[in-house]
Amino acid sequence: MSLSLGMKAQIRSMIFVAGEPIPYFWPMRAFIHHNPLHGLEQLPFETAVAEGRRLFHGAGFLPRHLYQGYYAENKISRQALAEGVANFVQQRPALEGVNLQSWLMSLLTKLKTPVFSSDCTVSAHNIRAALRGEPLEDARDVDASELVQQLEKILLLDRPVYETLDVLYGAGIGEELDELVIKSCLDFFDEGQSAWEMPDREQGFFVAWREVARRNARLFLRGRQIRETLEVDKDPEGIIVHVMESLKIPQDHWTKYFRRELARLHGWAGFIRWRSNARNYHRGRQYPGDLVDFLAIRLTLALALIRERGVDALPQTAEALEQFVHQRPMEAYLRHEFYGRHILPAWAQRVESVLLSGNQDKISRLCQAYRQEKCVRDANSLAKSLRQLSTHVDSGAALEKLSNEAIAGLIDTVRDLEQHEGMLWLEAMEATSMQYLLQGIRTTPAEPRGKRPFAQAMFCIDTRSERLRRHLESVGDYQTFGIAGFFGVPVSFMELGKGSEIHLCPVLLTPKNLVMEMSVTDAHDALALTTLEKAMHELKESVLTPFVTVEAIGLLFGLDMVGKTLAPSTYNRWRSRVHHQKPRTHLLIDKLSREQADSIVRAVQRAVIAKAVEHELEISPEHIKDDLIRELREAALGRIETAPLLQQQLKLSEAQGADFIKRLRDAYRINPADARIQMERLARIGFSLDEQVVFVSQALRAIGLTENFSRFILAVGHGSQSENNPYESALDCGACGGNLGLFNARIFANMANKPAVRQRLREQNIDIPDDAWFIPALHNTTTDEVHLHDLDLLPSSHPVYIDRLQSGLIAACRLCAQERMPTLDHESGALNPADAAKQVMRNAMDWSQVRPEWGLSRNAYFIIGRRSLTESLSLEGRAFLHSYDYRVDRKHRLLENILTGPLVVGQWINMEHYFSTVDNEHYGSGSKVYHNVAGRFGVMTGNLSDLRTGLPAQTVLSDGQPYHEPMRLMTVIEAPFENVLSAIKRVAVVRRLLNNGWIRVMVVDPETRHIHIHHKGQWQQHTGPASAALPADQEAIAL
Amino acid sequence: MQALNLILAGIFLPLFPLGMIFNGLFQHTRNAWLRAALLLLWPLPGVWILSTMPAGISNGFLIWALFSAMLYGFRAVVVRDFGVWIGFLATSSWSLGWVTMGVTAKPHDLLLQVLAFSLPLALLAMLVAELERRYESAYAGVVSGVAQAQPRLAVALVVAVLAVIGSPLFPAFFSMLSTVANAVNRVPTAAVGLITVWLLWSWSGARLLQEMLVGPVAGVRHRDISRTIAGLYVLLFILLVITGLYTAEVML
Repeated sequence: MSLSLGMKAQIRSMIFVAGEPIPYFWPMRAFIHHNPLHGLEQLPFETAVAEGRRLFHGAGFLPRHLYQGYYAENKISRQALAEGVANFVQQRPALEGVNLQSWLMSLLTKLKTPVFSSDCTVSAHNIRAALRGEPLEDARDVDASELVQQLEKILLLDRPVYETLDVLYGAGIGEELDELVIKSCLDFFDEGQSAWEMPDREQGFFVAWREVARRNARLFLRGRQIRETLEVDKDPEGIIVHVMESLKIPQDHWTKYFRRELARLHGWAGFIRWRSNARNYHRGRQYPGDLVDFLAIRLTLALALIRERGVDALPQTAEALEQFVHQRPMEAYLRHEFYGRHILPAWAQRVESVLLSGNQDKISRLCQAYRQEKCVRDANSLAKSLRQLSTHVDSGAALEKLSNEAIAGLIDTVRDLEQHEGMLWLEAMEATSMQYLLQGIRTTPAEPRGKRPFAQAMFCIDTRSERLRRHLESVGDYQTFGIAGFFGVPVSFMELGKGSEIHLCPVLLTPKNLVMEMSVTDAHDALALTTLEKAMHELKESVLTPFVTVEAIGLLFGLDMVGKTLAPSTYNRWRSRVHHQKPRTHLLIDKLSREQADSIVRAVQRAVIAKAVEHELEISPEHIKDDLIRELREAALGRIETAPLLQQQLKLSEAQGADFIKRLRDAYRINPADARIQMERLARIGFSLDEQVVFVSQALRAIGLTENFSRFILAVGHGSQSENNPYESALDCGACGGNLGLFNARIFANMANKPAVRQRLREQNIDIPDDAWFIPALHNTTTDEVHLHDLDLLPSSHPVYIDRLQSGLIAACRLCAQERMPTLDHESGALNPADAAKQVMRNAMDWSQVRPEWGLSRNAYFIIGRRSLTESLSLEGRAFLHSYDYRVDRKHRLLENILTGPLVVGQWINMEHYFSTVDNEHYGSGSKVYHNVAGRFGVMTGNLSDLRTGLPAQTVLSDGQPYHEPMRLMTVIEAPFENVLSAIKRVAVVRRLLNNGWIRVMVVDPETRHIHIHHKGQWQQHTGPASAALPADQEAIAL
Repeated sequence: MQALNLILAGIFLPLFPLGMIFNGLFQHTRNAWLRAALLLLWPLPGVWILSTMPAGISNGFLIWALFSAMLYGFRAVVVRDFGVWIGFLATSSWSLGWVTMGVTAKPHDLLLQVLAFSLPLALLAMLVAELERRYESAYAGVVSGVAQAQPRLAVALVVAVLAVIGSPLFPAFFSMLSTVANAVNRVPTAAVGLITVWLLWSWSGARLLQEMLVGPVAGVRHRDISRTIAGLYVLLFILLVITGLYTAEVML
């Protein structure tokens, strides 16, 4: 079988489309918060949530009793909920004798569990009979066509064949298939965790797997089918077509079928999807693999397993399954009830026995009796719930007098409400939170400052900065600003001692410039302890050595364990002292001139040649002369024909000399082509003066800091500190691609301190006085400490003020810890600031601590505006604060930039927290306690599972209950209403998010002092901050 | 007369296919106390008959008994209803009475062995009734997540199952150990069969517990057993351990 190019392209495009709803999964080294339903953002929120449930089996809202908890705590106001219910009731026909508003409010607020289960199909007549205690209508006569229709919806359509076999026959194929696919993925995508690598990985996922599959002992048991399938075609597309045709899936269902297959292991599929699209990902280029390979492997294994189980006369194709459902609907129904685990427990044994007997008469009789029993139970359960509900609305007697039509209407309304109640609760919760925010917002502009503040600090917009900013402002004369933590400078960074680049910017951007970190201290040997540690790790990770290592030096690890467990603070402080400290470094920020780049390449080539002569020809360095090196270089680059000095000084023959020069070209890459590549790479290093001016100017304008500069302007990046935590990167700076924000702060400060940059800024009316100095700093979000960096560059006039600055930062840090600590440890009680600081420090060093900090949990607001807007309000670390002064943004470009970048990243973070909270098992990653690192890029639950996406339970839940309050991001923009409308109109992604209800937006117009709220596709004007959050005046403005 | 005795013994210390009588009766008995009584009393007539039989147990019966134990043990591996499992475990373990008599010929040992299995089985039957009261049935897979929903009941179930499948310190362990040790001396091949049966019990018990204790918790939350009842079970388990030590003293 050989597919035409067109058919191959068609398969690829089908898989591309099928993969779109699968969210990317980034390696956890640089954790990227993202919306698990990002691929469905083109749909309205509620529809996307329903589709998410279908694809990923995840719930989109909290269960009712948790919303009731918020309601009891006034986090959901009665008024807001009642308004939502009233809107719902308006769309329903009135029912005589039933006050629907009262019934539905009671239903939501008084009944702990929903009245309807998902598969309840009781008629109104039977419910009425159950209410009156009368005998029920016989449900034994099963309408076969209705049953077939019902079963088709559940069992057929785009459901994978093996899934249907599993729920009809308990075949257990899905579980085994997942296991085999996960093992294949672990083998291929491993990034250094395994001691033995999968062979032939360079040839791609499918090819490498095919070679192993032919020799795999476990697959050998079902080898006939696998070999047969693999021999059909050598390309994955051909295999896919073969399997789909063998399973007799109609071609117009293929895309949906592929989607269901991908969604089953959406963590792995998301990782492969991201990896195949990440052009700069080294591992991805080295070992290519995409969703086509993944599906080919999955489908090959699925077909083999189906065929293997088919030995027991099970239907093996979609067509055969359809026939089975049509011919024996009652058996299919009972099978689905039993193997799908929907069976009434008391009937399980009977149903199993009858199904095993295969007697169709018995099956029919049992099916009828079972359905009757289910009907009776459902009717009684519904009647009980309705009676219970009626007592809450004081109409118990009225309920039994209702006509069949009224009962049917009530049932329909209740069922409909329960289907949409999540959205009602959510909107009410958001309205209540908006109300709280609007009451605290100050729409009047702050008085202009008389003198410049002692210090200004630019913090990341991260919610954790809000607390620190508030406390810093409270302890002294400080002015703070919020800006995306990469300070608007997208950069690729090569850290000292690391061989690869990291992107320090939001994943939405691809940096063009590279900055390198260079040591400015003397080189010295690594400490003995560091070397010993390295040796021990190598021994641990090898295949055979651990057996001996445990016996020989296992005790050393034991001592380490005792130290870390019993005295984490003291022990880790001691360890950090004996470890090699990172030397002082400078950053290569300025662009190199052509001459400089040429000189660097030349210097590197010379050094390499000297080493080559030393190693290859065994000549000691003192005998290697400069003129020889120069000659060898010229010869290797093809500029001279021969190298006479080589023969004279090193006594090599002509042939040996030629061989050595060839080796320099091939093995040591001293040749014109590589020299060109090196020049190109060097051209990426640093920023030109123009670029530096643009970045600094843009950042300062974006936050409205264009005048009144202080003596100190802190550029505060942030990062976290924890032990034994694969999710550490999730606590770092999202705007810096899940890395520490310090490097961006250093780069930005370095640029802003440059006289040439300041000179050019002056021409743009940003006059930074000579005594103003930008200092980079790192905010450790786990301990709340702020460390200043590059103090050695400080002008001589400034050190005298540093003490005051440090004292202010320490005070703010302690106050911050005091505020945070009770949320982390409920039993700690009220701590004084110093004790709280000690406690948070311990959290950062304790390797058994599963929750070193809450991170971005409880995020709810995104505020774009001047600090005065929320200065007087404690936002409890729940708000992203982006400084913005509309007065310096006449063309609204800065606002557009904020909406395009920071707001979208904020929405990803918000949605990640939202879905990880409402269904931690499906959208989150479950408990950290059971996590194991997989392939050094992800985690699995237990020893084998899908890659766990989302946030762990310890990040969003407290004692199993939500700590994060799941709401959509409520964005406040302080700018004239028209400006905001025009900015949103121009940013398509935000327009889509807004119109589809993925974010909520409020506009505070500083000119008119009106507040505009976007609700259900329309802007509503709010007349004052203290009044209701959802006002009546509506403006029909379509975006 | 001897043939009638043998048939009766084959019913009460079940040999295949006569075990179906006990299993059928046991499955139809829904009352927990009756079930416990059945488990304690049913094998006793068989013990009495075998103890009073003048001739020893022939090798043929020994093989048949082992085959029956294996068959019922294997059947226990595939069932998912706890009640049915108890029935098969009972028939499988009681049929080994024939083997005990065949290799030791000590009626006292036979009685101890039967009680070593019947006592924990009766206890388990009471616990299964607690499960059925809450979930309508004790069908593994349909009922799951018990460890999370009713931790005390789950612990009691685990200990009872461990006692039934002959884990150390419980009477069934020492009884099996003694039978295996005697079989090694008299009929070494029978020892292999005995160990296989023992393995089947452990396999089936672990499988059943795994499906019932972990997994999704039922939507409707049921109460756990009270601390008093749990304490009572702890006491009974301690008594079982003491009985186990006594069994070790007598049989080993």
